[in-house]
Amino acid sequence: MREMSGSEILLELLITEGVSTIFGYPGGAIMPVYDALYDYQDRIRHILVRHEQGASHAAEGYARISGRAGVCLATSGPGATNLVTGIADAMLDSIPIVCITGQVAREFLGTDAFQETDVIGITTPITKWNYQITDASELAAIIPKAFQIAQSGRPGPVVIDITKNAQIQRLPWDPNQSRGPQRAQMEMNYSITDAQLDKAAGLINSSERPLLLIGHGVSISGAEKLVMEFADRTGVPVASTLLGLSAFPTDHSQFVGMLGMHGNYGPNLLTNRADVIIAIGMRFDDRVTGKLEKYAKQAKIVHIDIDPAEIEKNVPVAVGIISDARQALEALLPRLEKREIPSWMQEFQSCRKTEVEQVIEKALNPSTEKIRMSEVVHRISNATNGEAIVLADVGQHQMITARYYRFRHANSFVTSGGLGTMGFALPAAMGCSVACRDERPVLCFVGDGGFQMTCQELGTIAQENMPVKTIILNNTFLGMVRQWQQLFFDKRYSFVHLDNPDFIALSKAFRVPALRVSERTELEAGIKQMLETPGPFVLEVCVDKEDNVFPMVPAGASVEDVRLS
Amino acid sequence: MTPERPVTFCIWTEDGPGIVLRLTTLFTRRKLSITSITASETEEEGIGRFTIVVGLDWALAQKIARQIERVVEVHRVQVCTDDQIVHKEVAFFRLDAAHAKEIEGCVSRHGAKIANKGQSALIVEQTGNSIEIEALRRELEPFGLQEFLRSGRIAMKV
Repeated sequence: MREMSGSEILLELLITEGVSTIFGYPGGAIMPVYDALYDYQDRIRHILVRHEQGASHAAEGYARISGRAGVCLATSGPGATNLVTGIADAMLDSIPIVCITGQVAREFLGTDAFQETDVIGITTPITKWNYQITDASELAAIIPKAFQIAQSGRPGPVVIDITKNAQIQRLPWDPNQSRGPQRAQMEMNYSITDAQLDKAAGLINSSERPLLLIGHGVSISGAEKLVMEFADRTGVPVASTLLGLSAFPTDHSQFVGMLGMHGNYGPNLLTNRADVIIAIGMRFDDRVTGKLEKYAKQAKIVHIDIDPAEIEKNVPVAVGIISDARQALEALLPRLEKREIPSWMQEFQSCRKTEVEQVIEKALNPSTEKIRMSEVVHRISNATNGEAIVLADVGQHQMITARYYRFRHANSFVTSGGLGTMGFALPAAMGCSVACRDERPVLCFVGDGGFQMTCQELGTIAQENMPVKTIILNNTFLGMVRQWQQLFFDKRYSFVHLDNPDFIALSKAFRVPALRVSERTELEAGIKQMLETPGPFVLEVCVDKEDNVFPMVPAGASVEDVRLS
Repeated sequence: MTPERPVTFCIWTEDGPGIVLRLTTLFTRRKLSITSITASETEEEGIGRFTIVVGLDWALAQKIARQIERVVEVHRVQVCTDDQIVHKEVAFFRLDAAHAKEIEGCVSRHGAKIANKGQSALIVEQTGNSIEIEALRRELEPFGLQEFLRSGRIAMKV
C-alpha cells in the first residue's frame, strides 16, 4: 500500500478498465493528470490531437470499431466545451465514450474562475450520466461506474469532471483493490415472455409481405450472424438504416438497400405495402419514416430494441420486445418457419431495376464531363473489395458513400447519423485506425466543407503516422444544402459556395502526401497510388459541382412519395 | 391531439447532485412548463422522491415517463391523473390587517388558519388541493392580497 495522487489513481483505474489509448489535449486544470501520464507512457498510449473536438470524435471512432468505450481527456473551460459536439454526437448515435475533464479546484467552483465552466450543467442533457469528482476518494467508485454506464444497455457518453485539488490530493492506494474490468456489454438477461415470442413468430410466419429493418443495435449487439439466420430461414427482404449498414452484407440476395431520405427506392416505396415489419435495433428516426401519419399504417410492427423508451415513441407496435438484439433473436429463431417469398422479393427486384435504370447506372458509369462522387466511391469499393473500414462525413457524399460502397465485412461503416456532425469523419478515422490496429484499411470520405471543420487533425495523423486514407470529394459547395436550395428554394444559393484552399498544399504542409485528380482518366491511378502508399494519404477528387443525390424522400413527405429525380 | 390536463409524475431517485436538472430538462426540451416541482426524502434511506406536475397530453406523458426511467439515478416512475392520487399543497396569503374580521370569517369557513397576526398585516395559511386553494384565493382577493405563495404539490397514489 503506498500513497498515490488522484491523477495516478485515475490512470490505474483506467488501466483496470482495459483502456489502452486516450485522445487528449492538456491545459491548466488537467496538468496534474498529464504529469502522472508522463510516467505511464508504457502502459497507456496518449494521442495528442489538435482540437478537443477531434479527441471526442476520435473516442467515438475508437468505440465504434473496438466495441469498447473510447476515452478522451481535456482541460477545463474551453477544453471541456470543445468536447460538447462530440458528446452530443455520441448521445444521439448511442456510442460509449468516457470524457474526463479537468476542473478548477473545489474552492473556486461557482466564482467565474479562470477557465471555469459548469461542465456538468452544460452536458447534462447530452450525456447518459455525468459526475463531478471533488475528492480523490470518489475515484474508486466513480470511474468503474462511468465505464459501466457508458458501455451497458444502450451505450452512450459519460462525462467525469475532476477538480484540480482531487487530481493532486494523495491517498493510500492498494493496486489490488480496484474491481475487475467491466466487459463491453454488461451481460444483462432480458426477460422475454413466451407470449411475446409466440405473437411475434405468429405474425412473421403468417405474413405475406414481411420486411426486416435493421439498425445500429444489431452491430452493437454483435447479432449479425443471427440476422443472417433470420433472413435465411424466413426469406424476408432486409433493409438497413444508415447506421445499420454493413451489419448485413450489401451483396446478399435478400438485401434490398438502405431506408430513409436518401435510401433506396424499394425499401421506401414498399414500406407502405408490407403487412409485417420486424425492426431490430433501430428507432424509427424521422429521416427513416418521413411523415409519420403516412408511415406503415397498414403494417403490424414487431419492434425489438434494448431501450424501452424507444418502443412506441414514434410508431405503434403489435409486439414490443425490450431486449438486446442477440438475446431476442436467439429466443425467436427456433419459432420461425422456413419459407421463401419469391413474389414479394420480386417486387423489390423490380424496384431495384427501376432504380438502376433511372439512377444507379448513371451514378456508377456516368458519361458526364466531370467526375461524379458515386463513381469514386464505386471504384474505391472495388479496389478495397468491400473490406475496408469506411467513414463518411456529412452531406451528399455521405449518402453517396452509404449507397455505393459494397460492404462485405461487418462493423465497417462509421458516420454521424443522429446529429449529422460535419467534421466528424477525419478525427473519428483516427480512433478507427487505432482500434483496428492496422488490420484493415481505413477510408475516410469527406466533403470540402466538412474537411475544413476539423482538418487540423491531419497534424495528429501525421505525428502518429496513422495510415488513414482521406478522400476529399471537392465540389466547392455545401452540396446537400445547395441541393435543397435548388429543389425547394428556387435555386437561391444562399451562402453555400466555398472558395477553397489548395487542399494538396494544405496536406503537404501537414506532411501528409496528397494527390489531386480532376479527370476521370486519372481516377484509377490516383486510387491505386493512395492505397499503395504506406501511411496517411489525401486524395482530392474534383467532382461535378451541381450533382444531386437521388432517390429522395422530401422532408415532410411520405416514404411512398420517394422521388427518383 | 388529446387535451392537456395536469399530470403528476412521482419519481423515486437515489440522492445525488444534478438530478433535478436532469429531470427538468426532459420537460423543458419539449417546451413544457412545469407547474410545480417538489423534492422530499422517503421512508427509505438514500432514496428521494420528486413530485412534478405538468399540463400535457396523456400519451406524451407516457413517452416522457419512459425517458425519465432511463435516468441512471431513477428507480421508479408513476404517472397519475388527479383522480388517482391524494394531493395537497400549502398556501400563504398576506393581507392588510384592516379587514381582519372579515378575513377571519372567510378563513374559518374554508378550514384555513391565521399563521401570523401583526399590526399591519396578517398571514393566512391553508392546506388543501388546488381547487380549495383557488377558492380561498378568490374570496380573499377583494381584501387586497399583498403576497401569495404556494408550496407546490405533494401527491401519493391511492
